[in-house]
Amino acid sequence: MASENHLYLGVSMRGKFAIGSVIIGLGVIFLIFTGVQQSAARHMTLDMLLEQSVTELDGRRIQLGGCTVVVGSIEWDAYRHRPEFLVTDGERNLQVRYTGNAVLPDTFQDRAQVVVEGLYVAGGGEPQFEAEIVFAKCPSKYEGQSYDDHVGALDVENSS
Amino acid sequence: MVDVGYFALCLALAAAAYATATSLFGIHRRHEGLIRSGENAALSVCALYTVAVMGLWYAIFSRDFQIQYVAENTNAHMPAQYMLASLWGGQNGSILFWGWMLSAYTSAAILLNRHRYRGLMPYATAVMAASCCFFALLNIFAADPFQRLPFTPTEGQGLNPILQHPYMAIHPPLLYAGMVGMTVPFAFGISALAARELNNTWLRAMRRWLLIPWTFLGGGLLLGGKWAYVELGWGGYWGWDPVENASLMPFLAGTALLHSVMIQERKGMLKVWNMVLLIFTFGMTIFGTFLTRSGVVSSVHAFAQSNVGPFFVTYLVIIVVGSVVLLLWRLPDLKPESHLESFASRESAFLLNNWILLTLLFAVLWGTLFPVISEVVTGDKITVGAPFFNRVSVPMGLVLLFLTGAGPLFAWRRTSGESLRRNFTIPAISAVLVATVLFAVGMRNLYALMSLSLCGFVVGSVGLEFSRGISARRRSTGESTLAAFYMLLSKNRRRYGGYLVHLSVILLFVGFTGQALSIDREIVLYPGQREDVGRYAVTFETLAFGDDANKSVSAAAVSLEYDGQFLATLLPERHFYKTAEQNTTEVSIYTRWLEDFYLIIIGSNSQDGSTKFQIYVNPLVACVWWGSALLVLSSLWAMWPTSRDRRLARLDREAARATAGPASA
Repeated sequence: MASENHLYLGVSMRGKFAIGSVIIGLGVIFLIFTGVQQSAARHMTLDMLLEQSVTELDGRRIQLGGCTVVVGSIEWDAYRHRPEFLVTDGERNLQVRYTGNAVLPDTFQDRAQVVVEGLYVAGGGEPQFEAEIVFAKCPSKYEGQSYDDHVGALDVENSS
Repeated sequence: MVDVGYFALCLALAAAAYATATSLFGIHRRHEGLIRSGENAALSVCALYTVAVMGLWYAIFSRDFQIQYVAENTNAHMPAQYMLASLWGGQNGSILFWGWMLSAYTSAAILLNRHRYRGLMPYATAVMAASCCFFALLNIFAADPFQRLPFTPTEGQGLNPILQHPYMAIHPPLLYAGMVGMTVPFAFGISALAARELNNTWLRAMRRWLLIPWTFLGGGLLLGGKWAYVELGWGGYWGWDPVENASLMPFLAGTALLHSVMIQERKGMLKVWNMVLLIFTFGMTIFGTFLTRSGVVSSVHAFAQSNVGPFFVTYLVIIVVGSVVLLLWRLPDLKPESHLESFASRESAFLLNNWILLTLLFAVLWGTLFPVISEVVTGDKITVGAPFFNRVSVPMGLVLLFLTGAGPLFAWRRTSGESLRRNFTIPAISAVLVATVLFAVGMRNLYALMSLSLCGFVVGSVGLEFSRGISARRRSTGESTLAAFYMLLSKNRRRYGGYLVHLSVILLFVGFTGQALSIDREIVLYPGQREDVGRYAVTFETLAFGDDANKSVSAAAVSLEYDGQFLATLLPERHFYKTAEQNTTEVSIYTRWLEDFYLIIIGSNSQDGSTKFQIYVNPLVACVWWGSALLVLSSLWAMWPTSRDRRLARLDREAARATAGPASA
C-alpha cells in the first residue's frame, strides 16, 4: 500500500493513513488467526487416518474426505435422524457415528460421496469416527462418471 | 438439429476470433470498414450462439438421450420448466449458456455504445469477442454439450429432485448474468487504457454496465439463499460454502468499485486503484467460476470434477498478466488530479469503505483457499468452517454498516467540526434510541444490539439526507412533501437511488442479525401431545403416508399456537423419490410478521408412533427477503436512464458522427 499512497495522498496525510491501514491490517490478522484456531480441521484421507493411532490424533478436529458411503451400511436411529454408517475409500472401511444436531442433507444416502468432520476416537474397542458434521455430495450419477465408465467398458470390449 | 447446434458453436468460435482480430487490425490501420466488420462479426456471434443453444434445447425437449448431456441431466418425466432449466443444470450446458449470455451482453454493449464511444468501442469489442472465443473453445474442446454416446439409453437420469424448484430454475441464470456481465465494464477499462482515453468518458460508459451485473449478482445470491432456506431444511440461508463464496467475492469487489469510481469522477483521484479494482473484480468472476468447476476446493454443491480447470487457469493468467502489463504501461497517464485533503471527508470515508470491503473479501478468500494454502505451506490440508467466516465477517460487517451511515454525513474535501456535530446528531440519537428500546425489552446479545443500533444510525443518516433534500426542493419549488420526495428520487436517481440501496442493506443486516437470535429445538412428540417452544406451542395431530409412482410421502399435521392463539396447521413432509432413490425434506414455514416458525419432520418411530421434529424460530428473517427485493428494485431505479442521460447520449452520438463524418466520406 505504502508505495501507492503518493498517488492519492498529499505528503502530510501519508503517515496518518499508513497508521490507519496498519491498524486495520492488524485487526484483520487477529480475526483471521483466532478464527482459524476456532474452526480449523485437518483434512485427511482414509488411508492417512488409519495409519495413525487413535491416541496420536486425540482431541484434534479432523475432516475426512474422499470416501463414499458403503451400500446398505446406513443404520438410522428410530427417528431416522442420527445414523451410523460405514465409509470406504474402495479398500478400507471405517465406522462413522453421526453426533450432530442438524438434519442430514437429503443427498446423504448409499454411495454418496461424503466428507465428515469430527473426532477420531477409540469406540468400544474398534476405532471409529464421531462426526459432528456430515457433508454429502450427490452420487456421481447426476454428473459425468457413470456414462463415461460405461463408454470406457465398451471400448475395452471392442478392443479385446 | 443437434449437428446444426454444434456447427453453429464452431462458427461462433470462428466469428468471435474474426471479430477480435479484425477489430484490433482495424484500430492498427485506422480503417473504419474493418472496425465495422469486427463489430458486425461480434454481433453474429450472438446469433450463432442462439442457434447452438436452441440446438441443445431441441435435444433436451425431444428427449434425445443419445446426447450424453441430455441423458445425464433430464429424464422423460420432467416437467417442461425444468427441461428448460436443465440447459444450465450441468457443467457443459452451463458453459454453453454462459457463452450465450456473454455474446448477448457483447451485442447489447456494441449496439448501445458504438455510435457513442467511437474511440473506446473497437478495443472493447476485441476484449469481449476474445472472451466469447474462450468460452466457445472451452465448450468445443473440454466440455462438449453435444457429445454423443455410442448407445442410446432408454431413459435419462433426470435432474436432482432438490434442484427441481422454481427458485433453482431462476437462481443460476441470475448469478451467471452477474458473473458474465462483469466482462463489459472490464472491456471498457481495458479499452480506455489501450486507447489512452483516460478521462471520465470511459467511467461514464462503464458505470451502468457495472451496476447491471452487480444487481444480478446480488439478486442471484439472495435468491440462492432463499432456495437453500425453503428447500434444504437446515433453517439457514448462507453456509459459507466455497461455491457461495465464489460468487460473494466478485460482489464485494464490485461494491468497492461502485463506490470508488465516484471519487474518480468527482476528484480525478484513485485512477490506478480503480483500474486495479476493475481488473480484480473481473478476475474474481473467472476465479470463482474456476473454483466451482475445477474441483480445487471440495464443496457441497460443486460440479463434478472435470478437465476445464487448466483452461480457466490459462485464461486467468492471460487476463491478469495482460491487463497489469497494460496498466503499468499507461501508469504515466493515470496521475491523480487532486489529493486527499482531510480525514474528515467523503473521500476518506469512501477509501475506508474500499479497504474494509477488500479486507473482508481477502478474509473470505483466505478461508476458502485455506485448505490449499495450508497444504502447500505445512503439508497438512486444513479446512475452516462457518465459525471462521462468521467470526471474521461480523466485526467487519459492523464497520461497513457504520460507514454506510457515516459516509454521506461527510462533505467532499473536508468537513468542519461544527458541521460534523450537526450532521451526526440525529443519526446518533436514532442509534441510541434503538439501543435503549431493545435493551429495555430485554435484548442482551451484544452483537445484535450493536448491529441493530447501527442500523438505526444509518436510517437516521439516510432520513436526514432525504429530509434535507425534500425541504430544499420545497423551499425552491413550493411542492408538497410527497411530490418533493418523488421528484428528488427521479431527478437525482443515482444519489437517492443509492440511498435506497443503503436502506435495503439495512434491511438485510436486520435480517442477518436475526440469525443471532434464532432458537433451534429438537423434540419428540406422540400423536396428540402438546409442547411449548418459547411463546409458541405445537400439537402433533397425526401422521399420514402416501404413495405414487414417482415418490412416497410421509406427512405430519401439527397445529401451531402463539400465546394460546391458534395460528395454523403445519404440514411438513418427507418425500422419497423412487427412481433417484433420494429423500427430500419439505419444510413447513409459518411466517408471523417478520419471524418464521420453521418446522421439519425428521422421522417417526414405527414401533410407538412417536415422531421427531426439528424446529427453528427465526426472528427478522423476512427482512432478508424484503431487503433483497428492495436492493434489486432500488438499484434498477438508480440505473434507469433519465431524460438528461438520453440528451447526453444524443449529444455524444452527434459529436461522434461529426468527427467520423469527414473521415468516412
